[in-house]
Amino acid sequence: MISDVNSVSISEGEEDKEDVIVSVEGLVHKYGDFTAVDGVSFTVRRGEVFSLLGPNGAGKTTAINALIGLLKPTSGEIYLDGINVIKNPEKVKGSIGIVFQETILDREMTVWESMEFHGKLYKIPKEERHEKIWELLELVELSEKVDEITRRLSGGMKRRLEIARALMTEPTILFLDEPTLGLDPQGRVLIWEQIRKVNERGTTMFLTTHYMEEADRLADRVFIMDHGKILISGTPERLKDKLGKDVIFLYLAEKERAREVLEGFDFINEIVEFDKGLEIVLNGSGVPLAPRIMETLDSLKPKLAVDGVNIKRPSLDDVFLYFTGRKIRETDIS
Amino acid sequence: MMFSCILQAEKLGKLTYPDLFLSFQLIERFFVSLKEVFIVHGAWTIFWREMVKYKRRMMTLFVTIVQPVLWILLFGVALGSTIPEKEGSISYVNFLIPGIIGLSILFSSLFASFNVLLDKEFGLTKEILMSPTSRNQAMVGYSLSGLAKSLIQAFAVLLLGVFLIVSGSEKLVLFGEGEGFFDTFIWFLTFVLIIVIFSFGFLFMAMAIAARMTSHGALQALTTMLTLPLFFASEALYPSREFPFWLAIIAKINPLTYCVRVLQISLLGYDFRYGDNPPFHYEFADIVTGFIMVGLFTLIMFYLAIKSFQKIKLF
Repeated sequence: MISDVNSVSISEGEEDKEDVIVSVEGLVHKYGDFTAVDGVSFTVRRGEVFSLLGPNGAGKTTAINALIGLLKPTSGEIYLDGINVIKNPEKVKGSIGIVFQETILDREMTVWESMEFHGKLYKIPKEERHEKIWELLELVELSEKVDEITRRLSGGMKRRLEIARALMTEPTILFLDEPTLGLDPQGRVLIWEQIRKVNERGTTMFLTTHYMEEADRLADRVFIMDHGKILISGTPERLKDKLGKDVIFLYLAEKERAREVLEGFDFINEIVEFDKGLEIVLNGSGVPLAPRIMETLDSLKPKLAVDGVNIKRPSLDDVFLYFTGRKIRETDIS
Repeated sequence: MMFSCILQAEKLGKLTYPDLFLSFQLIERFFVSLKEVFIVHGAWTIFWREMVKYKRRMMTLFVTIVQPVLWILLFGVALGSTIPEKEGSISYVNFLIPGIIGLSILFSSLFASFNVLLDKEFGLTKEILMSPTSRNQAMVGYSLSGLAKSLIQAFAVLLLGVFLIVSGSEKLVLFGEGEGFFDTFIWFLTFVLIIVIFSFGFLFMAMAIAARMTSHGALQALTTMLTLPLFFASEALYPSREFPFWLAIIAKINPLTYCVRVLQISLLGYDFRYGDNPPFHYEFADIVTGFIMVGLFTLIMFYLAIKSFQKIKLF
């Protein structure tokens, strides 16, 4: 089931050349013998939220570093806004904003000073700089914290400050490498709001994440990456439709007996075992089908006891599992 | 024009030359770096940031001033008490002022490396180097802030020394005493200039080291290992004429020796003596040699610092 899908693109459609802001062709990067990025190609459209989704070590950060000109890839072509990034890494510095995976803030400076420092580095004239600092702090809802030392900000506030800082140069594209890593659910939702707001102002967003929910909520298009390769891409909806079918989780002890009985039904596509029972992939909606399964198991002699039932729409998690054969686990995250 | 300079510098920075010391490109790069440093304000942005933090942390300011003060109070006064006063001699504390100034600059300059290491650790070098600010400017920015701290220290020591001597109602010798306002001014300029050049020398050395280091422990050990021999194999605390041969060699190639000598001449004059020690006698040539030796050292360190900064890895 897994082996037949190596790289699939679901209804990409024709790319409108003028709408492309980033195009990557055959990107390869090796660290010694280890191939971190293995022949990746994709395009980012102007104005969209683009998401690179995959577990840690999939090669997402390496890809970003190559895209922003921080790293010279082993081979491949990268064009950003018409600029050849590999040949002219200096030229893209002005048109991109980046929020790195790790928090990069001077712990001893205030919110205002951090913004001021960034603006000065980019030589933004004083008046324009100060105007922009206020505007952006307003946008990320930090204007009440201007004189706070960054060390005393919460994790979510630090992230928002970093987003505001990256926007100071009015980048055409903003790269966010795991923007909600390590945040609590509340902080995460706030960041999502900011990302949407910034995107509505017209900035293209390039997002890497290993949170399925994040890609699902935010991204216009998702590219799933694992072991340095892009496995599948498309809108979150299309990717889920690809699996299409609901899944019923049956919690029971006698897995083998239940499996034998259920394998006869034609509305069941696949039965997968998990530690507490069976995962049943249907080819239709689970709502009418679940009672049928329950009735069948109930009528068996001797009776087959079911401890619990759960119906689930496929999520991007399942898409990932389907195409990689493994789950993204929180424990992967260092 | 500014921008083309940067581009050129970046381009040159990526090339590697097998025979660097003689290559034409090296000289070219050196001048491009110099030009870039003096024209572009990226360095000043980094300077600004360091100063904002320095002002905020009064404790740092306090420590940097107190450390040399303790040297003078404890070492100068204690050892000075064993040295008998003599007619026509200056006090040991007075003799020690230039040496302790040299020492404070050496220490504070070398310890500037920790700021760079911290920035590397917290990723701030990434923020800086992703901006149009070049590596050379960043390096000089860090160094400029270190220089400011060195100058603050130097004048703190000077003031304290003056206070100690005057309050002890001893005769004070400072800046070619008694030769008129103009001479005093020239000696003052000499004093500041040698401090600036010498401080830059060790700041650049600190930059070269910090750019290549990743561990705090190792940096600490290396810095301590460097400062001790530099300090004791110099003329900061005592004259070097009785040194055994091997120690005299170290003193001869030690930039601190030359810096302290120029500081001594500018503060105490060509001829001075403390206690019943044989008198010191210097000439104008000693000043020239001092500037040449310290200047050469600083140039070499400037080159090494720029080269090391090109090699900073960003991830």
